[in-house]
Amino acid sequence: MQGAQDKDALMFQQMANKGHYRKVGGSRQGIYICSPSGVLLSSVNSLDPDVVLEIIQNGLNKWNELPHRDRYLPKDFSENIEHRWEDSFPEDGLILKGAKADLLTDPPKFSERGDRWNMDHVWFNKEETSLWIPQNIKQGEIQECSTVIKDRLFRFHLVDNVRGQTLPFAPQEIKKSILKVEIVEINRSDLKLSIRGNSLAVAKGPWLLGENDWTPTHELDHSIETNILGNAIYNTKKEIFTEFELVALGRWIGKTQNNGRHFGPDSGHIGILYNLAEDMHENRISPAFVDLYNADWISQPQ
Amino acid sequence: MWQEFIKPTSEELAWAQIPWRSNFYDGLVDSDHQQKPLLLWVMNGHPLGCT
Repeated sequence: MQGAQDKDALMFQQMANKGHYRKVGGSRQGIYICSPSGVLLSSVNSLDPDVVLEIIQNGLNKWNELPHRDRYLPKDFSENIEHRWEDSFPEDGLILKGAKADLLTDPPKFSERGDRWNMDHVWFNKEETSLWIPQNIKQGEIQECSTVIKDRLFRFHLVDNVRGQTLPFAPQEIKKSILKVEIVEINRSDLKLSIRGNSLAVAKGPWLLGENDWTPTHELDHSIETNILGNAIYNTKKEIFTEFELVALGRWIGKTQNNGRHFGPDSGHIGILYNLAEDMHENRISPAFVDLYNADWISQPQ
Repeated sequence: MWQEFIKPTSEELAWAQIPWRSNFYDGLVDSDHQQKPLLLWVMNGHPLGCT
């Protein structure tokens, strides 16, 4: 939306340039209230629900004052959209929704839950989904996951973005990468699977992923180490997961430019949970680092 | 034990009760049809947990 030339993207860019950042380019994050004609009514980027509510109310008031002629989509508006990451949504693959939280006590105390959490989605297409399953379908069979699965998780998803947007890891920054799947039970077409693993990703020095939207302005010095435990049920007839739960407990060290750690400690513990994503609009949003995914089936903008 | 703690609470997921559209174009079309203003959430994270 920030750089595309489609009509809806251009409308957004023009509107956002007049929004709370009051400038062209840079971050566009926030809440915008607008008309379908592209008139910006109000906007803000705030963590305070009362402020957001006020902005919504302001927008509604301005909508009520808006001339009737400004309340409609432009006549020449069309859905001629060249590229959206969501176009690559793997309909017959594995979609996981993830939650991230700071772990401030051990054992966990709900009274000491952090003030922020974050979410993301993981995409595997159908072929990649099948790579989770040991090739020899036999109870007790254990197989190390393929590199494509481990890279997907360890480079792009087991990252410290609890408090804010962070950076993915380059392949050579994955220092430890173990992920094993065991068939613990076979019940007709259902394979009950156990997942175990651990990982270490270390980024120290220059950015290794080239010039792109994520390229930082600073040298890197951050890492994350995780221990992984999960279970899942895969149906071999339908070739889908019917259950999936993966928990990663980890320790992060260091900060990145926008991950919201600047005023806190230099290290901490993180909890990451992945489950199957329900079939809902919000679960179709692409993964944060989809543009750098290790997947040639992701359609890139021309 | 840990998964229940990591999982967002119902209060934290209150925003998900809204029937969101996942792209701006669909929101604009609905806004036009229903003659209501559009709320656009542009965020890497959830609405009140800004990232």
